[in-house]
Amino acid sequence: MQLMEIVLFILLAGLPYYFLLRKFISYDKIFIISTLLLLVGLFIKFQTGLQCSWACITISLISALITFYVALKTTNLYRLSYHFLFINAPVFLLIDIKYSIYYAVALIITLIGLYFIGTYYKRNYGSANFANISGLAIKTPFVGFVLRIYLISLALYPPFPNSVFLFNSFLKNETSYMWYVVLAIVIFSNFFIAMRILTNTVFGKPNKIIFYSDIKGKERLAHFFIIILLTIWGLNGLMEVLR
Amino acid sequence: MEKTVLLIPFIPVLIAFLISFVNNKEAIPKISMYFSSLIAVLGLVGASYVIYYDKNIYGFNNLLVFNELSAILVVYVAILGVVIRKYSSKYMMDEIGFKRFFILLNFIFSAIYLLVMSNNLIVLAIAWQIMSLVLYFLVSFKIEDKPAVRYGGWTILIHKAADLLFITAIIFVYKTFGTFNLSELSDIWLKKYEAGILADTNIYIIGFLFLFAAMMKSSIIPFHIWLPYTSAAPTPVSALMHAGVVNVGGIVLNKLAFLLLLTPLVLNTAFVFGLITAIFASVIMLAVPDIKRSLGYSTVGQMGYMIMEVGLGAFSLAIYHLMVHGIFKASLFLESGSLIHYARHDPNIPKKVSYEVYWEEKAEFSKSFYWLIALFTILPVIIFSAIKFFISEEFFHFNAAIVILAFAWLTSTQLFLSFFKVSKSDSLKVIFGLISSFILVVFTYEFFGSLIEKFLYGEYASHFYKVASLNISIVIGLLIMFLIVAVGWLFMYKQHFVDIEINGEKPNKIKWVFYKLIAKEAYFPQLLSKFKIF
Repeated sequence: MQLMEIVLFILLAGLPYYFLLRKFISYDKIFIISTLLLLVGLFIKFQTGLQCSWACITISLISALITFYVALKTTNLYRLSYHFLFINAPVFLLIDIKYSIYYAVALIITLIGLYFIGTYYKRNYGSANFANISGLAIKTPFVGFVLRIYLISLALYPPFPNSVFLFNSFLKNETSYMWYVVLAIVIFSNFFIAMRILTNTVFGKPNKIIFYSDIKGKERLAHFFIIILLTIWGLNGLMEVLR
Repeated sequence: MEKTVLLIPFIPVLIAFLISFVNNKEAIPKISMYFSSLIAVLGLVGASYVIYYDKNIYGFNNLLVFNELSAILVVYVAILGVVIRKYSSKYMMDEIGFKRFFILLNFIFSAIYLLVMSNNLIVLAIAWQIMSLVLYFLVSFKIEDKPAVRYGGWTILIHKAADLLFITAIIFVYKTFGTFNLSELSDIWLKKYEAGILADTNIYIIGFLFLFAAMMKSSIIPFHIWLPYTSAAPTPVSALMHAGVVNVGGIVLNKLAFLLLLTPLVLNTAFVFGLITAIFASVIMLAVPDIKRSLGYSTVGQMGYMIMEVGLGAFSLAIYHLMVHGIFKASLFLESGSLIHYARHDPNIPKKVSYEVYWEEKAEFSKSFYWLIALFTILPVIIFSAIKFFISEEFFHFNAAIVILAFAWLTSTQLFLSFFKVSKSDSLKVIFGLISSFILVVFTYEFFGSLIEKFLYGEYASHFYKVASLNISIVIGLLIMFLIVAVGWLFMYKQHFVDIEINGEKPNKIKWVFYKLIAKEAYFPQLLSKFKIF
């Protein structure tokens, strides 16, 4: 592995988080820092035109699986938002820079939406933790709807851009069997975590001791904007592959 | 003007969009019904155009096509859609999330139309995935009900695995053939077949990936468990699932039929998996105590037959089978509410047609009535068969297919016999009725099956039978059929005695183990229950 690959791996796969950030920084800030690190990593990849070796991608796959395991243990939406970034690290290392950027933008937009939902949880229910806050689809239909869209997008369903750009990158690049291993692991990791959130908070019996309150006003508009952006970005990706 | 029919997949989305602004509960089904009737009319117009001009309708830059397959299936799905929406308008009225239900229902119909009418693998993949996702939301519609959500989780997990295989197959197709256009791909595959070019590893990988993806969504063993366990879904969803969604595997394999010409091994694999599913599901169907799950296993068994038909090269029979089975099973599900209603007022078995014909003791029909039935069922078949025997060799192409049809009929009979207590005093009447129904089924297939086959595949139909090299002669076919029937019926007869001590003797251990295995559905549900999936 070259030095630059190690730098990229550190920036994208969440190593600063595991060794440094989680000890010193409040976890609602870590998503912003991790997003910035991802963007820096992509900038470096763009500048150097680096193609990562199999060793680097294999290590990033192992790190993604570890993050997946950690993500299965948490019910905090802030934490999950940056875990999603780390789980997708092998994709950023594997595919070419153009689709890495497209995929990263799509992922970040979706995760911003999820992060906002985390903020809504914190404001209304005391923390961004979704444990025991179930039945949103019945009690707060707008949050239920918006969260569903974000999670569908994160679970890599079309026509949302995450799935579309991941698919496009496979079509436009020379692939080997290792690519399909990455595809399977990334698809199932994202899918499992997204479905876990969906099943435990959007679905389920509403909690009688909680006062549910739906999103209103400008915040509602912001979520609409994110969803429209995701849809347009996804359709744009679709048009590209269909052309 | 004829291109208007290509708007069909978008009309349900429009309905869903309109419904989202309507709060009047009575207006929601009315809007839905009005537009879905429009789809049925458009489907009929499209079908008549395709039949009359013998031309396909292409549009949206060749992404969509209204061809022979669409002409059959769009009309079928549209009529099913009207019936299910009409039924749901009253059945779901008092449910929380009535509007959400209709929106989801329209989205799933949109995905099915898109899947049927797609002429591009990307469009097909989108429809394929959206359909699964919406199905998950429909199956988990009662979001407060834990089992419904859990079984919905099983469904989406197996469907996601199918999606992964399907996407991988599409990437391989693009890398190998350089296009997503299904018409172009079909031409390429047909030319390769006619030139006698053997499939390479890549083409085999593509064939197997598509086959396994189709098997997962058509609930073929060992990927079947999602279907019998989703009966907690609202009844209209069960009807839709058993009559529409579960058939997508067969529809996709029909769309890719020319690819399978290059891969005989894939067809043989389909046959083997179909056979195992048909036997296994038909036996379990008789042992499970839950009537809805029993119906679920019945559908799994029928899907096994459908995949077997594909494996034998009888692609058109698979389409015919999925439609006929869909209508039959949807009727059963939609009738279940009324049966429960009757049962609540009458402690006995509800007095429906089957009861009146086969069980209730009443004045005998006159003998001339039986002769009349015989005259109108058996005689035309004999004449028809004799004419075909002398003038056409094609009749023999259908032999294997007819044997499969016989399997299907016999398992339906098993289902019937296990549901209704048949009067022993008049078993001849029962046998006569069952044989007449079988003859009618075979006769209908011989007529409509060959008609559909000519309509869908024309001169190329015979290629599929040649490629499906697992050539089953009518004798072997009949032997297999009788073996399955003997095992199934013997088991059904014996199962009543398996756990009862007879003259102080303990039950046979092997029988007991076999019964336990079947009654516990081969431990598939227990295995999945061990993992908290989401």
